[in-house]
Amino acid sequence: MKHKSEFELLRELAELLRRYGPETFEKLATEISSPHFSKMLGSMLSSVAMAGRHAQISRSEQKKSRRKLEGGIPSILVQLRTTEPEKSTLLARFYDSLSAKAVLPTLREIQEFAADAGLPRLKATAREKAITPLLKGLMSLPVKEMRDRLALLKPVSKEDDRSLEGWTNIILGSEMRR
Amino acid sequence: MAKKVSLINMKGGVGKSTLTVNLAWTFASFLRLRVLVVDLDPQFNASQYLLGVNRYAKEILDAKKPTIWHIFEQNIRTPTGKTELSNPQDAIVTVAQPYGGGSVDLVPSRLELALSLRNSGQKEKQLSGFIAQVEGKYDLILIDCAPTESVLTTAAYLSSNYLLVPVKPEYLSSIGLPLLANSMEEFQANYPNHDLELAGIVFNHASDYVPEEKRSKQEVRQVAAQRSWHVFDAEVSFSRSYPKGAREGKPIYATSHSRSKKVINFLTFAKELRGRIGL
Repeated sequence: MKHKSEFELLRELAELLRRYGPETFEKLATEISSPHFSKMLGSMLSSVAMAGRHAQISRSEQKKSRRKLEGGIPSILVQLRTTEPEKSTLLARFYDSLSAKAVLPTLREIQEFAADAGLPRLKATAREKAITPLLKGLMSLPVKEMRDRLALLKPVSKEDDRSLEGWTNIILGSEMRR
Repeated sequence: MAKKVSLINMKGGVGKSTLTVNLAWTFASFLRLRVLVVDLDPQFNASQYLLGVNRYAKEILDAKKPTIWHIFEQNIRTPTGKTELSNPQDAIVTVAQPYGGGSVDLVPSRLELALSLRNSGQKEKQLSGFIAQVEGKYDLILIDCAPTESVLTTAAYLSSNYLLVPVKPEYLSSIGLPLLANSMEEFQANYPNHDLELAGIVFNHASDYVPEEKRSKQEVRQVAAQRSWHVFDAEVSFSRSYPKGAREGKPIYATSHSRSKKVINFLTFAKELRGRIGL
C-alpha cells in the first residue's frame, strides 16, 4: 500500500466489519447490486457533492466547531458512552436542554443546582461558562445519584402562562356559557 | 397491569389535585414509572396544574382534543349524532418525560364534564372501559376525583383497585370521611364483586402545631381504627411551596426555595404509599 490514506480506509473498514458483522455486509452487498440502489446512490452522491461545493464555511466557524469537539462536553460524552452508557445518555439529554435553556435558564439557577447536588462551587460569571464545570461535576456522581438529581429538574416552557387572566378567559369562554 | 388509585374525599379543598400531580411527578421522576393522571373533576384543577393556560388552550381546546367528557359521552346519541372516541389514545396528552425515564400523561378534564352529571344514566362504566384499553401502557393510574357524590364517584370506584383519602386535619374537613364511608358502603352493596381496597388516609396540610389540628387527627384516627382503615404514618406537611408549585407548573421538589424537610415529608409519604399498593 503506497498511500497512508488507503491504509486508514482499510483500517476503518475493518473496524466497521467488526462493529456490524459480516452478515450485515453481505446483506448490504445484495442491496447495492440492485439497479434501483445504484440509481438512488448516484443521485445522492451528486447532491452531496453539490452541497459541498456550495457550502461556505468561514474559518472562524470551523475553528469554533473544532474547539467544541476537541475536549468539549460532546466529545467527553462520546468517550463516556463506552464506559458508562447510562450516564452518557442522561448527560447528553441534560446538555441539550441546558444549551436550549430549557432547564436552569439562569446562571444563578445553575449555581444553586450545583450547590444542592454537593458539587464544588461554580465560579463562572456567565451561564454558558458554567455549563461545562456543572456537567463535569455531575459526571463524578454515581449514576443513581445523578439520575435523582436530574429528576429534580422540571423543564421550563417559554410559552408557559399560568395567569388568572388566562384561566378566566378559558372558563368564561367555555361552551357551557354559550 | 397498572395499579389504579383514586384520590377521593367528599370534602373539597383537601389537596386532592395537588397531591395527585405531585405523586405522579414523583413516581415518574424517581421510580421511572409510566404514570397516567385522570382528571375526573369538572373544576379541572389537575389539568390546570399539569398543562398551564397556553398548553390547555392550544392542545385541548383549539385542537378539539377529546377529554374525560368525551369518554363519558361516547356512544351516546344526541340530536347532532353520536359522540365517538374511536382511538382511546386520542384522549391522552403527554405532559412530561423526566430525565432518566418515566412519564406523566394526562386525560384532561373540562368544565363541560358537569353537563354529563345532568344526564348520568348508564355512564358509570365508561371510564373503566376506557382504562381497560389503555392501562397496559402504564404502571400507575391516578384518578383525581371530584368532591361530590355523583356518577363520577361510581365511575372512579369501578376504575380503581385502591382509594387514597387525603384529609386536612380540620373539623369540617374530617366530616368528609363519614360521607366517604357512606359512599363506599353503598358502592360495595351495589357491586359486591368489585375488588376495591382503601389504601389509607393521609393527613394533608398538616403542621402538627395547632391544638385543633391535633384533635381532628385524633378523631380521624379513632374513626379509622373502628373500621380498620389504615392511616399513613407519613404526613404531608403544610408548605407554601405547594401553591407555588401549582403556579409555576412544578412539583414541590423542583420549586425554588422549597425546604428540604417538607420535600422529604412528601417523599416519605410517596414511599409509604408505594409499599401499601405494592408498586
